[in-house]
Amino acid sequence: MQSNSPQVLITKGEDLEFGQVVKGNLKRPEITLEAENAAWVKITAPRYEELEIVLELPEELTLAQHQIPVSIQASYANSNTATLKTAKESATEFPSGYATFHIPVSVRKSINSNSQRGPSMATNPNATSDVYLFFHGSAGPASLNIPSGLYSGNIFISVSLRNP
Amino acid sequence: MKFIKLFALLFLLPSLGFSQIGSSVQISVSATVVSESPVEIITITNMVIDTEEIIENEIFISPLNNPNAGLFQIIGMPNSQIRINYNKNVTILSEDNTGSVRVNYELSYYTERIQTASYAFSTDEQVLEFDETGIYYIWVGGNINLNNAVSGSYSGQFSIEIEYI
Repeated sequence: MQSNSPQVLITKGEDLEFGQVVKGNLKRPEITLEAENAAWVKITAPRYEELEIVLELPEELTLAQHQIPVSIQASYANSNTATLKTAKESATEFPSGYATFHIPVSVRKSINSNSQRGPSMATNPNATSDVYLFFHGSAGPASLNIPSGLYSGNIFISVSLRNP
Repeated sequence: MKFIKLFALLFLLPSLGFSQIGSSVQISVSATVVSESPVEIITITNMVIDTEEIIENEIFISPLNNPNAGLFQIIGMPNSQIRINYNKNVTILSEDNTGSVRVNYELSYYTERIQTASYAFSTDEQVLEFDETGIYYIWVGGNINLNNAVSGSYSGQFSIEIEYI
């Protein structure tokens, strides 16, 4: 079950809905990072901490015992930007082939401190920042001999504070 | 979003409002697999040949602006690409086979039924992409050569082939 971690709040934005995939057609519907329907979650956490993020990305979407392939790229933005749009513009892609990542909650340097970890006298130790995770990609192709219908899968995201 | 707020209220009291407290979340990924639906072709008006427009044994009907151009509508899968082929040069015999007219078809297309906004087909083979409406209007005009024509009744067909690519 979910563990309760009050210092890390996750808000889910969009799911990843690719729309129609036509059987036997080589064209694969795509959602780009910039698209309005790219999936995202927002993680609100203490600004001077580091996050451990575990991602599980599906490689197929399923209906009963049938599948179609899906290709998903994940990226993150931790520049403490103001809007979803500017977060997308500053996003960095997660390298593929790994499931666990460590990233600082905010890469914005504190004026009064040499270190990004730990509060200084002039900063608020209870300050939080938002980290965005984005997901985009493409679905298909679908072969002619599978049934029509809704094919689905899930992206699993676990986030926790990385304690020293 | 409504769904997420309701969920949060049930599980997050007495904590914060609209976020899902916890360290994990799932994003649903989905796609709807469908069969290819055929392209529908509907004739709206036939091309009209007005003999008063004959100049030196030829009539030219511009698909871009002549109201006598023929018009048909095609309906297909939104956001899909199609290739259109048609017989550009056709000879039509008179009813009693004594004369013939030669037609060199010219076509234009637009997503709405506004002829003067339409774009000319560039070659015999045209590739188009449907937008979200899945509709195109296609005007049919052309050059009609009457050198071998005799008085009489002529009736011809314009044939077009459309496939998804």
